[in-house]
Amino acid sequence: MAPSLTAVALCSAAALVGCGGKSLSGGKPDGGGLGDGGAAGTTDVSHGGFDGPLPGLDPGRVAIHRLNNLEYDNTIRDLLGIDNQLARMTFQPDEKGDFDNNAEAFTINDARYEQYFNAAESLAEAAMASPALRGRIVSCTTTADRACVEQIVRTFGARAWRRPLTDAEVGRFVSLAQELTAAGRMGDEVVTVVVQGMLSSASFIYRIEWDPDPASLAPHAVSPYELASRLSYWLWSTMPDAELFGLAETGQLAKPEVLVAQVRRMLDDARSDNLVESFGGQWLWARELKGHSVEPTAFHEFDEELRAAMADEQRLFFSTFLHEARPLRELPNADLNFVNARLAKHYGMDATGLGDLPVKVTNTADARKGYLGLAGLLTTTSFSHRTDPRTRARWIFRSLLCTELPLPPEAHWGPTPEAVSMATTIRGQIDAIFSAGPSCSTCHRLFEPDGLALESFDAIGRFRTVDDRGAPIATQLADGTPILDEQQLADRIAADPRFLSCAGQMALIYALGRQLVASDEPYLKELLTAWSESGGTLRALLESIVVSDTFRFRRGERP
Amino acid sequence: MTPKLSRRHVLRGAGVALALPWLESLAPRLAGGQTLPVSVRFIATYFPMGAASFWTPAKVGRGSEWSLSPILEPLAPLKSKLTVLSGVANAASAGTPAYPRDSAGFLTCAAAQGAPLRNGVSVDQAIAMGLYGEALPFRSLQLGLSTQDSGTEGLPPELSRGLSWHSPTNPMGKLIDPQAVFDMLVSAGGRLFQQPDPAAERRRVTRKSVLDFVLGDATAIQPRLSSTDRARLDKFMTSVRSVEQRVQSVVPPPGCTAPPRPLNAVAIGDVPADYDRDAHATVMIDLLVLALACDLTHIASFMFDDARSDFAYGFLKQRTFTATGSTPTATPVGAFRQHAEAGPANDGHATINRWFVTKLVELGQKLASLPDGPDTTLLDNSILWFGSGMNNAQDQSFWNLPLLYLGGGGRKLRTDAHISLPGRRLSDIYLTFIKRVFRLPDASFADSQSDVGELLV
Repeated sequence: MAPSLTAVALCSAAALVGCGGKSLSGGKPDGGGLGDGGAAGTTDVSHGGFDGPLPGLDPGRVAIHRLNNLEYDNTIRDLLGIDNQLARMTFQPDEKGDFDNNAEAFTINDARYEQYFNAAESLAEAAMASPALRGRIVSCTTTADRACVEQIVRTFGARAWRRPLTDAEVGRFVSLAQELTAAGRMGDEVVTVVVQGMLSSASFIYRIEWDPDPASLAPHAVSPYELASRLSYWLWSTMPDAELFGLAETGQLAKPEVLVAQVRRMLDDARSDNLVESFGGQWLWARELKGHSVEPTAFHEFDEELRAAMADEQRLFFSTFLHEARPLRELPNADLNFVNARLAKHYGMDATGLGDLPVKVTNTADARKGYLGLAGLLTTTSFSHRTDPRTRARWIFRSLLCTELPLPPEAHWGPTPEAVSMATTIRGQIDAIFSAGPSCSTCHRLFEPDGLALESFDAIGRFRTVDDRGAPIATQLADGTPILDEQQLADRIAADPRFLSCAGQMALIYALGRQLVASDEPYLKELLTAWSESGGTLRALLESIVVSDTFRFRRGERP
Repeated sequence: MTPKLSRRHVLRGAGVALALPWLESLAPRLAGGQTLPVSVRFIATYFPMGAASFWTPAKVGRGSEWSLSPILEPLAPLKSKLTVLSGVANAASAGTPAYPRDSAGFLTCAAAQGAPLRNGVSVDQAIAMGLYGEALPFRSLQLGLSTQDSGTEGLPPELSRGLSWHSPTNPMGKLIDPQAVFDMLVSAGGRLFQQPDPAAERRRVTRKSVLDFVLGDATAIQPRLSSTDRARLDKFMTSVRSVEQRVQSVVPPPGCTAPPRPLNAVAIGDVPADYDRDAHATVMIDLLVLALACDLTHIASFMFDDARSDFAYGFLKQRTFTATGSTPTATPVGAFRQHAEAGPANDGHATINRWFVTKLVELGQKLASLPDGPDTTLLDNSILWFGSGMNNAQDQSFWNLPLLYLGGGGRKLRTDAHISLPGRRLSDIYLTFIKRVFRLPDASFADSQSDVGELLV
């Protein structure tokens, strides 16, 4: 399961000079990455009990977790009924870890807090000024009445902060309200400021999970309300809904069978589109298409209509694996396309009967299949004016095999061999690298052929028989190394056990909102076993995650 | 000009500022509200045609070792903040025609010429360009007095009527009209000078309450977090405090209450019949103090008169000067150049010099009344430079210039001293300001050779 170990093995003993790709599941802060092996790897993880982590296992911890812009917008929509995409339109763009829900990667600065603060002010005023929206906040008749304000603090506060407020917290809000009343504010004015205060506070802006003893390493279950937020931000990128809050209140949510049922319910809800956009979009680089530039002088056929059709296809392709009983193993090579008339024409398919809306088609006659053959992916992994086999190889290794392509060892940072710099085509360059001797070719041989396998598709994903320089698409390198075609490569990756392991890692990283560390390895092993035993669909993977101890438990940390 | 233009209109409230703890009164004066380390201000003031006899103090020394000369006698209240320099030369600017070079070379130490127009970069601009990090509304201001078409020796008037040069070919000119300066400052000061708006004030109070609440809440939950999360929440709280400081800064600071707009305009060649030179000087000084007090700028140059001034200082009564002091007579002073060219012992010239000194004292005392940091005033944190580009208008020499400064440049410069620096280059003095006070990386200025250690504390 450890991808980087496999990569090192492939690299062979003769090529020890650093072509071991780095595992994506980082190493810090608790030790080496998964690929480093380590004592944890020898632990028996066959036990799948739900009663708590096995002795000696460490469920890890996630830092206080600032909402990203998508989560902020969705939360405001569900909390206040205001759906204006304020954060995505006007806030600073999110930082990125592997995913933009990575708690560690998210920091705050003065300008960002000012955005939250100003947004809180305008949103509170807008919500209280609208009779329809005011009703979501004000649950009693007379806001001039102190008891009514306190009731609003408790009921609205429990939704805004995603948990019941402590008496001390309610007390602080009541003091704020009294201070305002003393300054001459009345009724709704006071409530508006209270709402503003809630939306400006750490407990709204951050998802905070409390440890009974923050300095203790002993694992404990996350609270039912924290579990509700873990679920909702994972699958919906928003706050929990009434049903999740209800299950948290009664304590039912902690039960594994309830958790699994909730995952099923939530994936059937339209809000799971956020999982497709956010998890799928980032894991498989689909989000990159939006900002990718295509050189119009090289590709006058490319326009925004085509870009939108490509994006729809990537989204629908991934969505299929969420909503159909199709094993995730088939993601690289499932022979599916989602085309409207425009994209069908782009693919050279028969567009008869097609309109603006994408339609699912299976076309075994063409040269492409699987996610690897989607025009959106092939475009995103190209330069604006030509293909770049190395970017495509990097995507395959990183997204599908969880292996970062290594940089050349420092000893090789000297001048490029003359034959390489003289080459006029990418393939020519690669041939030259291969003939420069084993110090180059040993590592390059591992990934260059995979990038070249996609050369039959140009920089906007059209099938072609000649490359950017007009040379026929090669089937082998100068030294005889064979180059697969796209379909062969897709089949090979679909059959590669590293792919499923990688998918499991990616899903777990996204679900936890943190990097994986060595202590997660037993959980990952257990997860992959449970997943394969339950059918291997994406849903089965998510259902296995929700009952995994690492999802349901956490610990404090050494002071 | 109307006597209504008194400084109490301009600096209404300055007395209140004195009573405030320094952070509260200083912080809001900073653009953007952030608390910056105390900045040094550079204000270069100038008078033309050198000084008469009785300028130079009799003795060199520090503290009680030296005392003021008859012309400098009005500086008595500020003697502890004063240093007089003797013997300094500006050879680089020497040459003919001398009058335009008196003003044009005073801050540039270059040999200015008229066709084509060319000079050096002036020291105030060198400092202003070095302080690019201080994002104030004005990088520098150029103000002064001038009321008539004073002689320019047939050269471009930029040489005779300005001190500041942004580049050798880019003179900054100066503003003499109080209304124009007022409009410019108030417009740049923006919300500092707006009439109190009850709705905005209400909002400010609310925002303050909310931010206090958020901070109180964060402080309460912080101990319940683990060590790394406490650190993350710390960053959050730092950002909240920073926003809070900005919210507070909307309040106009007491030292910069908007003055009423000056009633009279002044333009070159259009002298009002009731023109009052002394009131004009006072209102321009007050506007300069306003700009400095409100942090609209940290750098300014100010001309007490144009280079080859023929202005008749009839509003002054000529004084009789002796080695021990001066006494007034009933005779009005005449045209400036006529007195200046009559030789160093001319009482009319000395009387005009002494008036420049009294106006400098007015400026210095206003700056000394404004707190700026713990136990320091705006004057302490300034270099208020004062002098002329020639020694005397009779010999038109550029040696032994009349020079002095008030303020310690943020406790970096020696004060209460008369320092003799025979033959030392004027550019060396400027290099000392640039390098040692403003800590800019410049290795030289104009024809400078080395900085002047004698000036430093």
